[in-house]
Amino acid sequence: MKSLKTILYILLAGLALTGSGCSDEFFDTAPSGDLTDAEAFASTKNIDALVNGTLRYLMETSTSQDNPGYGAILLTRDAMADDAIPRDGVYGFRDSYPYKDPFDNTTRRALFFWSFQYKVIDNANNILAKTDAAAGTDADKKYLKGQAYALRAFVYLNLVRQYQFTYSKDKTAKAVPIYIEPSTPSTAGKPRATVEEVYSQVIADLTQAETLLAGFKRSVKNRPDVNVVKGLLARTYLTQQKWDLAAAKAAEARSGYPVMEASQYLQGFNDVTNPEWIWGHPQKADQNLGGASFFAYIDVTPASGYRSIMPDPYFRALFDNADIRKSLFEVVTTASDPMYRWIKYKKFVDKTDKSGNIPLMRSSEMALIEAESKARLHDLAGAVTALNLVRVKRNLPAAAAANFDEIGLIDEIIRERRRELWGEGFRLDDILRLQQAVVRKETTETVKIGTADVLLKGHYVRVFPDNSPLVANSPYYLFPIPVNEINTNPNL
Amino acid sequence: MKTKLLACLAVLLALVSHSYAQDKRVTGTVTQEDTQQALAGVSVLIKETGRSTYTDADGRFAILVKPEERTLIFTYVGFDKQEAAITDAPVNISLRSASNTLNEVLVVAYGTANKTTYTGSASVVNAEQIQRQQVSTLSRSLQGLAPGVQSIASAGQPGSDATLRIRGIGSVNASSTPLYVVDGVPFSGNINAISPNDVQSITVLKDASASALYGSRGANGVVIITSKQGKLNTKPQVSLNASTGLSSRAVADYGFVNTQQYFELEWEALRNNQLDQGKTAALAAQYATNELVSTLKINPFGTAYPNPVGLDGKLVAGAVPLWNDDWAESLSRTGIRNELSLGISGGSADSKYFVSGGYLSDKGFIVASGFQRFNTRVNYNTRVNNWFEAGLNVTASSTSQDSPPQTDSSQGNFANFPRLVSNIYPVYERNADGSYKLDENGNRIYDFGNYRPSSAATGNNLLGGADLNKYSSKNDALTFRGNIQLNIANGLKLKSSLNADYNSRLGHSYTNPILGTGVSGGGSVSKSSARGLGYTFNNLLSYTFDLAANHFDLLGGQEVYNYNTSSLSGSRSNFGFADKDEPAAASLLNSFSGSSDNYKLASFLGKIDYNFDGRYYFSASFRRDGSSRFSADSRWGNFWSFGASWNAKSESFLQDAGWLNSLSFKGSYGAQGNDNLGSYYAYRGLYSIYNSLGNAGLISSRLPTPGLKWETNLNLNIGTDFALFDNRLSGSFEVYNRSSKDLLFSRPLSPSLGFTDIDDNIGSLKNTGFEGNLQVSPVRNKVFRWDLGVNFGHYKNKITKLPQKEIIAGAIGQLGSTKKLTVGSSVYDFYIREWAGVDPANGKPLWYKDVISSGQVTGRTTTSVFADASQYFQGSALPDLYGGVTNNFRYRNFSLSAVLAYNLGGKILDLDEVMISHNGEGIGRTWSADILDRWTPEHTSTDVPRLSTIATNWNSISTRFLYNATYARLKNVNLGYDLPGALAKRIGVKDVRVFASGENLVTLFGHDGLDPEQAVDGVTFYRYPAQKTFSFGLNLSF
Repeated sequence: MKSLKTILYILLAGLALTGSGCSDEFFDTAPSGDLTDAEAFASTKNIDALVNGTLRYLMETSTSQDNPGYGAILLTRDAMADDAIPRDGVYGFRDSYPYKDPFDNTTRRALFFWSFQYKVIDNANNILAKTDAAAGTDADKKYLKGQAYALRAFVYLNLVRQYQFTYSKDKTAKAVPIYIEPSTPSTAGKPRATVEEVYSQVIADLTQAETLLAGFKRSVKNRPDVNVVKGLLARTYLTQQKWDLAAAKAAEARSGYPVMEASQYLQGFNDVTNPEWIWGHPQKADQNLGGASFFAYIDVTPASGYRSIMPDPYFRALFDNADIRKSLFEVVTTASDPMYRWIKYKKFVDKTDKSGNIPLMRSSEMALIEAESKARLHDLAGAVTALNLVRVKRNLPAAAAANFDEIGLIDEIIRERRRELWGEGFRLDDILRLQQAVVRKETTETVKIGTADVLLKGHYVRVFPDNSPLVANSPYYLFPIPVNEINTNPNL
Repeated sequence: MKTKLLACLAVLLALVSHSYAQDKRVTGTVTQEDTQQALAGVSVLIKETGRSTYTDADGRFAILVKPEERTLIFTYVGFDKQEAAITDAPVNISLRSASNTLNEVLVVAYGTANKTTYTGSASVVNAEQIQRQQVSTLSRSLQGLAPGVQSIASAGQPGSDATLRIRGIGSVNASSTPLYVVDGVPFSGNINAISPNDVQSITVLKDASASALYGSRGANGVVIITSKQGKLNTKPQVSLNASTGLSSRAVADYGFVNTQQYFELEWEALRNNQLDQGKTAALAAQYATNELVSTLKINPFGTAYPNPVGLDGKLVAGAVPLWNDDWAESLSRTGIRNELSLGISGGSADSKYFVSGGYLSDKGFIVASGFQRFNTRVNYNTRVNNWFEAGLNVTASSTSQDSPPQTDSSQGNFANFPRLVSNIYPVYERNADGSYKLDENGNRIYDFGNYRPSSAATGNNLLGGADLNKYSSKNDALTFRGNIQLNIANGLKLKSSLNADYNSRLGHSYTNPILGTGVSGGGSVSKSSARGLGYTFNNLLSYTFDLAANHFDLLGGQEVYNYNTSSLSGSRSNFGFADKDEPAAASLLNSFSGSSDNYKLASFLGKIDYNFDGRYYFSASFRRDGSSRFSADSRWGNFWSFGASWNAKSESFLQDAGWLNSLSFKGSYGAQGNDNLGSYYAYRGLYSIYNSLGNAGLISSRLPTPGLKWETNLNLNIGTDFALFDNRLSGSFEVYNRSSKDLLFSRPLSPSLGFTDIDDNIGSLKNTGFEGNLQVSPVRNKVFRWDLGVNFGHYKNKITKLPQKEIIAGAIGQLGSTKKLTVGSSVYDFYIREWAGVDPANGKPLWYKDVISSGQVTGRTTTSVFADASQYFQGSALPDLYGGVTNNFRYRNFSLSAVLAYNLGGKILDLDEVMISHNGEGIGRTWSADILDRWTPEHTSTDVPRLSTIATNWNSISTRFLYNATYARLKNVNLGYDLPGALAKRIGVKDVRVFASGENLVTLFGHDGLDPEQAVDGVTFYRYPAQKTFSFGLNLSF
């Protein structure tokens, strides 16, 4: 009996000891879905994952269904301009259209546009600061840094054009803060840099990237390579009105990416394999965001969904009948269809598994940059040649330089940009760059349905929220710095 | 650490003495006379020699007596002293309570205590109070019953838990939820898995003295749930409870405009927008008349009226709506609640048991919602011999919750859907003449409204999908509490226990491919499974002894807690076949993921309870915790408390005061912790794995905070308990000061840094308050008895230190922030724009705005631009006073009880109202009847702005939607009849009680349409409103 008791005590003591683990290993736990920062930057392989993740973040992160990553910026740029109209009553961009949002700096869109782009910048800054110390080959390090520079420049170029008027209006105006070092717990917010300073940063980053990415063969078309970098340079120079540089870089950028054939224009703009896509973001079904995707708003062909972004009837009038692009318009004449009396523009058609790819840079844009730059350099023949690269592939007769004066040709090239790039997020930028007003007119166009002449649907907001007319260089065209930044950054 | 423990065990072994001589062993049990509850800690003194012992947790004692020792004296504070002669038979004693309310035995941290002399602060809700309420989860049973406990059942979903806040808000970014302790050990499962019928008592520990022994987890208070036990030396007793009830919506919804009004109003909005675009009045009216039907996409007036609203903005003569559907009614039903439970308890001289089983089905009033529970329990305790005891509690439960989406602004929210889709749209498809379209079987066809504008849930009809879709979650839980106890010597015990909570959750959501939102993707299904296992292993050594009039209880030990959770989830879409809802039948894989986490805690703890002569009580406790949530540098923390109480009634100068039954005073101070920072790895800098396009991906997710540690609460409590006039008036009153330091804050960063915030221990806050309760028995005789109780609590929450001047907080998704934290303000002070009415000149909404000249605010003006308006503090969401009023009447065999919960003061921000308030831009969305009062050139004195199809922001967050939160709710009424004993005996049973019970029958609140029982932060979120339930039932025992 006594011995039994003693055995029990000893047993208990043993149990107490085994259960009492309190050495440091006992407390070792690790998250299953995260890497520590040391692990993330241990090797070029991991850093490559960071580039891959950052690209996905840029394209796909969303805080709400109507903010599908960079696609939301593309859509907002068209919704706030003239050639596209968010269909009445449809969720998504109906508040951007009347300049309520993101103009209001308290809105979630205002916060989203700002924060997600700066997160991409910080990830790029970390890659630039930490890649040299990682394990891996020098070539890999060069390419990773080149991609990081390109991404950083891409975002700063967006920011400077979204948050301040164009370069040629006032390059000393305060734009956005510049960060080129990784943020730490003690980093303070930076003041707004001038438009000029941001452009200098963009040029510097792109120049670095151009060097570092020489020889980089990407495996997926969402990676910025040297062509993408040249294209970004072309866009930058175009805005800076450095016409010769813009023309040269645009020509280099589209090297190897022939303008697509007319028939390919009808394929739905959903696949990076298109020969003229220089840069695009593929999608896969397992990261398909459903309602929160670029295509959920821009593709008006499905039987249900938001199907929000419609063309203005006046935009349709910009096309010749022979233009292959005109065949994509369809007036909805079924009264029970929610799009009744709207025109559908079937340029974008999502894939069946909803994995439509996002176009980011095409040869046509580069050709048109070249054309515009040459026209402004008074090289009308060169300009028309570049313009015809696009025109003939759209089933239009080649234009002749003799038929245009310089201003007339530039106008035609801008119109060609509108026709070619609709829905790809260029229009608001062009209006700001050209310092023009958005022109929205009520449509008077009718369509015969049966025997009746039925009025088409068009622009329904044609003034600013304060009922003043749409004018050039209005702050309503800019994105606001969100109230959260103003509240937390005393140095702004 | 291990050497420490060895030393400890060596002492333990050394203490083992074998001094049992050939003396006679006397055993027995001590119970409370009226409740038959075992009394622990009763002093058992041998009159002749002064030697003594104490009863154990089961009220048992054993002592060896010499032949000359003949009489035992039983003394226990608050009870009448009793003597008993020593015989050969067991000495079973019932002590008569000197008071009915104050002598409750409390289950407290690692033991029990007598309420009168307990140095800590605790409230108890007993089995009887729990059983009167027909609630499906225990967390809902505390409202209005436990002073100082704010219980808010913010959702009506059956089986959903109430939010509990004990003595205010101790944390900002970490959890403010109390620790649940079930049968002595922190619980790692779902509270709704425990059947309320199995529960003997719930003790809420509120101050440091009571909860510091729970160390790094005790800061937000502790809720101790103790299950029923059998009784020694009792025959088996069977008790059967059955009830059935019907439930419906507790508070009527807002008023909405009818079809005619809707059309005329939307016409006006269209017309006004055209005026704003520069059209003449005539052209604008023409436009509105022509475009109205194509804007709303429906014409309920039929093809005879293609333009139902004329140029005058009025419905044309003769037009009548061809249908009057009601989405809210369609999505509601009469809920049904059925509950059945069976318990068997009893005990022999050495063992006792309680075995139970139960079934609950609670179908909510919103279609597709419900909760089901099967549960079973075995509690068994035995004494093998005089030195070895063992106990085992095992429970198994299986719950199944059908919980359709119900708490956000999405279209899928069943509670909110009727507030999205206006009643101008039919629920079932209609022909042009208004008659129902029928399918080939003659059935009505759900109208999914592919034509509806997206503000009216295009392509969605939740009713149509409700029977086809699935929102189910099943939980299987096993809990195990096992202990062995060695009685080493008189008063010296070693208790080791191994306790485990196992949970397995299976989630299954299915969207059908035939009707509704799932059509375009061919339907979708997601399934998830999560396994959680938490175990606690502890070894506790306790020693109780007396030195003259000094009584000591010592406890020391060690504890390890380990929690592991592992989950996997996946979803597929594109079903090829109807009637199949498992992933196996879907053709496209959308996602598959899984993760696991571990959380570990190692602790050492000790406490001392001391009293002198039953008059002066002191206690001290200490716990040292190491937690895996923190880095090695800040892993270990110390938590402690001191408390004292004075039993004034036992003083000689009060002993003769016959009017005074008891009086005691107490005070305590100590530190508890809160390590529940929301993440298990909050101190690390992390990159989230964010794979893309089939390749590895990463994205930065948080900045590191290496020194991160727990929040500490410093708690001061002072209180008194009293009973007067033969206990007809009794009560307690306590004041407290609860200071939280090293608060975890998400310190906001400039978003341009790439991070919106960083977690840090910076800041302090303070909750000061009082609480109390008063029990009166105005009538107390054999025929009629009336007991009235009032309890109340009040606290002020104040931020005393912040990392920066102010922090904007309380973001509500898309709607913006609602709070601002500054030193001196409260965590739940509203900081929002101030509504200044509608501009009589143009009908635009106005908000106040500061006039600032040279950096100084010099005055106020108004603005119609929402973003430009200034934000101001607008009062707190926290109530001034909250609590409950209880009434119990007994007349002969009838009894009636009522619990009224009240909340006085505080503000509530009604965002539900925002959902139905628009000025014409929410085309097709349900429209509040308030809009009928909108501004027009003829009606300029109003606070509803002019209509337009462009948003004006008037329905953004402002004081326009801020209301006084004062309300009272009749939580429970229970009318019962006990069959007279003789009659019961004739039909062969012991007790029979039939009852009718009502939950939430009456709600008094000043703002129509809103259910006032919302979140602690005072912001509504389109939740499933509370239900009222009316039930009948039967309790039977034999």
